[in-house]
Amino acid sequence: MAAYVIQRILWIGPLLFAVALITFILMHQVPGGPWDRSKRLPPEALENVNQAYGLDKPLWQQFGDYALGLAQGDLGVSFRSSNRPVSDVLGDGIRVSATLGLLALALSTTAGVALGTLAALRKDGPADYASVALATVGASVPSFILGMLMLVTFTAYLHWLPSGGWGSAKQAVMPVLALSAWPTAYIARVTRASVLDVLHREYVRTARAKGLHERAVVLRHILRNALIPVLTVLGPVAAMLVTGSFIIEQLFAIPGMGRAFVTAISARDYGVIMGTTLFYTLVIILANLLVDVLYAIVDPRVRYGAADATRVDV
Amino acid sequence: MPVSLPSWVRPSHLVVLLIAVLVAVACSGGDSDGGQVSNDLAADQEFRLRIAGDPSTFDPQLASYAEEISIAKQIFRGLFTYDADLNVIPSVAITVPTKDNGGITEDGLTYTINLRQDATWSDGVPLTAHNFVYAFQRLFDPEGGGQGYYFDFYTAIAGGEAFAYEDGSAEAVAVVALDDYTLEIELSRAQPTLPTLLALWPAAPLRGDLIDQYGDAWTEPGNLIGNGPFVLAEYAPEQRIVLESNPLYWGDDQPTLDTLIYKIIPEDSAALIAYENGELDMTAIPLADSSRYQGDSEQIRYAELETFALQYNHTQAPFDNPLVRQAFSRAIDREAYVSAIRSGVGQAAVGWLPPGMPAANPGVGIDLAFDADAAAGLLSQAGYTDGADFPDVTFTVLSDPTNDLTAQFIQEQLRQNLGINIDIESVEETVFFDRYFETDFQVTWLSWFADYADPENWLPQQFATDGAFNVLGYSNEDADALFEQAAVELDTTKRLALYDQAHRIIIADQAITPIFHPERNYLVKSHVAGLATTALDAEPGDWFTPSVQILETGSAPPASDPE
Repeated sequence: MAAYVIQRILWIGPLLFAVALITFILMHQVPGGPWDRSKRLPPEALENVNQAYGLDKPLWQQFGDYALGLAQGDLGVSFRSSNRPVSDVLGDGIRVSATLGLLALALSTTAGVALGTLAALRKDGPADYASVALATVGASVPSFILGMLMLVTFTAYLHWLPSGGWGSAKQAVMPVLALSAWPTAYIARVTRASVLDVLHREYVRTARAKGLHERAVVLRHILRNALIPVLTVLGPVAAMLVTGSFIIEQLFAIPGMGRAFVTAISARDYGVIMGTTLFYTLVIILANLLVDVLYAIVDPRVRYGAADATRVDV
Repeated sequence: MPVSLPSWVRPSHLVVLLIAVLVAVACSGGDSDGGQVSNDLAADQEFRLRIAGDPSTFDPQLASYAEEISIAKQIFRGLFTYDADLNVIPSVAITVPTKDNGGITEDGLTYTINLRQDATWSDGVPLTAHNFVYAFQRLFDPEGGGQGYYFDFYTAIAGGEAFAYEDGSAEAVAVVALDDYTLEIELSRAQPTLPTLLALWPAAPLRGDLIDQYGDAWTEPGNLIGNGPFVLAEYAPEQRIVLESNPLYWGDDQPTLDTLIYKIIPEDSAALIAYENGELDMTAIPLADSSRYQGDSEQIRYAELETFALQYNHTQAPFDNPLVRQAFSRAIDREAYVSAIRSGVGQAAVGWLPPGMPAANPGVGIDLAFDADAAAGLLSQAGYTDGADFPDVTFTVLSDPTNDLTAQFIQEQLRQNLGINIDIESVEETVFFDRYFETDFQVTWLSWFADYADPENWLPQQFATDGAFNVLGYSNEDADALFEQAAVELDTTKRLALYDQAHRIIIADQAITPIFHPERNYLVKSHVAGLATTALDAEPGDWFTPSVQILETGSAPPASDPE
């Protein structure tokens, strides 16, 4: 398995390069540039800034310069605020988004697995209907509406929680809840289906037959096997949560990656667009790798050889 | 034929509507100020306001957008500033130079300005004429202010244009220190508005020693040394900017506030909730909420120097025909527009120069105001009776909910009153401006906001045949001749009369079709006193932040009813 993991890691470099190239080309194909704002710079000033940012060079040379910098770990500067290196923008944003995302991940995994298991064990009972109903609401109400509902209730009406910002525990409550709703519902649905699937397997019956305590049956035999499909969805969900949600960050004025990314796209901040895209790529690659490794740990039947690594699923 | 739903059923509009209703329900719960406001100053002199986006710079020579300009104005002070009526008054200078006091030579080309000797920087270093010399050299430097929007306003200064165009030098910029406290500015052409330009943020003095020492990092808290009433204390990107009062401020307008906090809240409705929750002292009222706050005791509403207009591409049919443009002007009911789309916030416009702008005249354009019959007559004269055979026209707008509604309103007016059908195209911001400045549109919708209160900023640049912002391709020899005369006319009355004439020509031609003048519509907590607004604010009251005071609340003395 070590050989497999090393091979997967070696693939990261070429993958990032390919993503960088595609992003760079697409970004420059989109009409409008970083200086196309309501106040148009005078032509001389335009020449000056283009020179300062190297935009006067041919595109292939610009990409060459960027790739060269990238190889040395230099992500360049933001085109919007010249004294902020992209690594600063990313660093600040990641810390915030990752904290928010991990909190939401912890909450949604715990709540989702608990709800899903409960629903499956009490199939067709009131608990099942309640958790299915909750999951349906969580999956269908957009996080923007949910966030706004909470803002109106807890801030404007009850004055319990601050409207937004980042830094205190109180400020994290509403964004974490709003962000967790959809993944909780998703995880609950997958868990329920998966637990139902293993509930009547022979090994569960055997476990019960040999007189094991119900708790041991559920934890050791049912859940351990039922969680494999849940793990599969957890990788992308984790990547999604940790890299920041634009909508939640925008609504709650949180200085995270999601907001930085979308703001950069609409402002054509080439430096930040490249930096964030590459970072997202890296996170998704690593999350998938982690899930594949976890498979092997959870499911004894999964064995990786180096040959499997040619099937690179990112 | 596809069935199209009415626009308000679109999901994005429904969301806006739903939120407006939710916020309305939540915020109707009465007074949020938490008690009676007294006349005593609060112990905590902290003023918290909202900005929607992160300022990309604190460099006064590069500041271009409202939040950047507003902050630069607190940290820096130039030679001059404004009084409440936007008259130029001295700041670092001792007097405003005129020909009468000998400060301006007879030909209007040389300005001699004496500086206060007690002015200092926020680190205690004396402020001298050399700081202005450095700042003006940097203003035209291709590696400094020459990368910004505003240096172009100052190119009458001899040597400036040459340096910005890369074949001049810093030393050739004709701003010199005759001694530590006397500055001489020489112009290559007369610029009657120079004093008002010198009152704006790009003309602030700068510390060359610190900019050399810190490079790009000179605007970071701690490094940034200004000479204004406030200093930059904290910058948390995408979160907040904190300014503190400058204990070494030398001006007569000493601030009462200790702290000025700009909170970055991107979402309008979230900002309104933050205000209602007492986290902000001032915020803009979103358009969707404006009728609810109309007449509220915390509402402030005032005119600004801005005009929205239909803008035409004059280089193509059908808008190369003045009769078509005139027909459009007469076909649009501005009063109905302001009340239906803007909830009554704003003034209907038929002239381009907004009220409050020198040379503005409410009579200009009256003869081309809304009149459906006259509109139909003009269109028929243009050869399109009842809209027959009118070419396909696309109305291009910058995509946002208000602009989309505006486009639908105009579309409907033209259909009703002229019998023509136009298409609407709603475009993302960056793409919109890319296309706008390339004149890649037929008719579009955009406003112009005053950088300074003079028609020089509103007419020649946009409407002179060779104007720097002549995007529309408009050209009129008579107007050009008037602009040339006005540019160097040193007599203010005559100069404004020339601009008035030019304004009349442009409106008679309907080079653009003015529709309305927007207004600022804000909520300000009742414990905020001394907010002095002008038509030229970037954020409300930001020319006079030192006069803002925070009053004590809650612990007011027992009510002694005056009755």
